[in-house]
Amino acid sequence: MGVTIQDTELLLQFRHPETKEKAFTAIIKKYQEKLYWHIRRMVVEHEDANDVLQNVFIRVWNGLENFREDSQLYTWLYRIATNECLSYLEQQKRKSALPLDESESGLSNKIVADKHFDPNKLEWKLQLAIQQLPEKQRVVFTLRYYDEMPYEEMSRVLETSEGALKASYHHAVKKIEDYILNR
Amino acid sequence: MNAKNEILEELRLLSAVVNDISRENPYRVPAGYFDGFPALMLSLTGEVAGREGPFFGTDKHNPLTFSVPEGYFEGFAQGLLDKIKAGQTKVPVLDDAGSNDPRSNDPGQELAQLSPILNAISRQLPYQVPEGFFEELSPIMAPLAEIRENPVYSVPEGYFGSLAGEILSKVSPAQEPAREAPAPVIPINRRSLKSLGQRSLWKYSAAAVVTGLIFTIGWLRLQTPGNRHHAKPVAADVASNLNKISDQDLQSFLDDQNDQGLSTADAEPMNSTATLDITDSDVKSLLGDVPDGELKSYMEEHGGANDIATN
Repeated sequence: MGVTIQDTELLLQFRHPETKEKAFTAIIKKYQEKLYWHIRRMVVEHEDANDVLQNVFIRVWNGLENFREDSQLYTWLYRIATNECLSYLEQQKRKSALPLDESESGLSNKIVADKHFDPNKLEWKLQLAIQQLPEKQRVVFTLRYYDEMPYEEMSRVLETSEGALKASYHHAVKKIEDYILNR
Repeated sequence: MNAKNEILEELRLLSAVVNDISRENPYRVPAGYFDGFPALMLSLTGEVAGREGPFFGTDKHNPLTFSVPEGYFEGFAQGLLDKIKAGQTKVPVLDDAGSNDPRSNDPGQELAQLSPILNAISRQLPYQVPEGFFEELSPIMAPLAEIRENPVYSVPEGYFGSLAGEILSKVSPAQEPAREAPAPVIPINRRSLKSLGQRSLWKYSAAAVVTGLIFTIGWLRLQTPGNRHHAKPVAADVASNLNKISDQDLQSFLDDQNDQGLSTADAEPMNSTATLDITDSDVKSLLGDVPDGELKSYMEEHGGANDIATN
C-alpha cells in the first residue's frame, strides 16, 4: 500500500526546492496532533512530548527526500515517532540512573503528579496501567487502542510480524485488566 | 470502518473490563497550545500560518484532558522550518547532559525563548568608568602596542623561506632507508621451516640446559653437611684425625684457648669433660673395660685426678 494521493502531492512539492517549505508545513499540520498524542502517551509530560515531536519533524525534514514510498507516509512518520520515543525514554533512564525495573515508576509518578490526575477515574488508572507494560508492548497497545491501527500497518511501523503484535496486544490487554481489577 | 469494528470487537472479546473504559484521554493540553504553536514558531520570521485541512476535526481521541500550551500546533510547522533554515538542520544529539535543545545554537533565540523579560533588558553595562581613564590609558598602551607590532628579536632574511627545505633535507636521508626497506617477507617453504626448526632446537636446548643446571644446583644443595647420610663419615674422619694428634698437643691447644681470654663459660664447653660430675657408676660404665694397669700408667703420666680437674 503506497502513499495517498494527497501525500504524493506533498512529497512531490517537498522535493521541489521552491515548494519544499510549503509542503513541509503542510505535512506538519496534517500529522502533528496524531503524532503528538502518540508521543505524549509514551512520555507523559507535555514538555517531553514537545521535544520529541520537534526531533521527529527534524528527522522528517532530513529524510523525507529519501522516503521510498513503499508504505504510507503516516506509517513512516509513526515509525520515526516511535523510535524517537523509545530513544528518548532510554536517554531518560540513563540520566536518572534508575534501575530498569524502576524506570516505569518514574513515568507513573509523572502521571500521578499531573495536576488533573484523579485516582478515582478509570481513564487515569488506565494510563497508570499502560505504564506498567514493557515499552514495546506499550506502543502496541496505544497504537491499537487509541489510534486503531490495523496489525498490518502496525507491523510496518514496528517492523514486527503481525502474529507477534497480536500476541503482544492480547497480553497487554490482560495485564491492564489485571491491574485495573486488582489495584 | 470495518477495521475499527474489528478492533472494537477484538477488545470486547479480550477484556470486557478494558472495553468498558472510556477512550477519553485524561491528559490535558494547555489551553491554546495547538493554536499558538505555529505562531510561536512563526515569530522567528514574522509570518503567521493558518490551520488547514480536515485533519483537525474532532474525533474521540481529541485531547480533552491533556494540557498543551495554547497555539502549539498552529505555529509549530513554520517555526520548525525557521529553525531548520537558521542552520539547525542537524538532528539534535542527546549529549551526556541530555541536552537536545536546538535553540542552544543561537544565544539570541535561546534567551528570547528562555526569558523574554531578560531578553528585553538593555545590554548596556551599568558600571561606570572614572573620568579620563581611557585617555590616561592610551599613553601607556600606545608604546605597548608599538612593541607588539615591532618585535625586539630579528630573524635572518629568508630564514622561513628556506626552513622547510633544510628540515626536509635533514629528515629525508634518515627516512629513506625506512621507506626503501621492504617489509620482511617470510616465505613459507621447507627451507624456512627447517631453519625455523633449527632455531626452535636451539631454544629448546638452552631451556634444557638451564633446567638441568637448576636441578643440579638444587640436588647439590640438598646434599648438605648436616645431612645424616654424611654425618657418620664426617665424625669418623674427625675421630681418626684426633687419634693422630698427641695428648700434649691437645693440652697445649686447650691452654692457648684459655689464654685468649675465653670465659669460664666459653671454656667450659671445651673442657666439659673436666667439669662433668662423674659418679662412680659413670666411671664403672665408661672405664669398666679398661684394664687397671693402663689406668694406673695413664694416671702416673698425667698426674692426679685433682690436677686434671683444675684445668
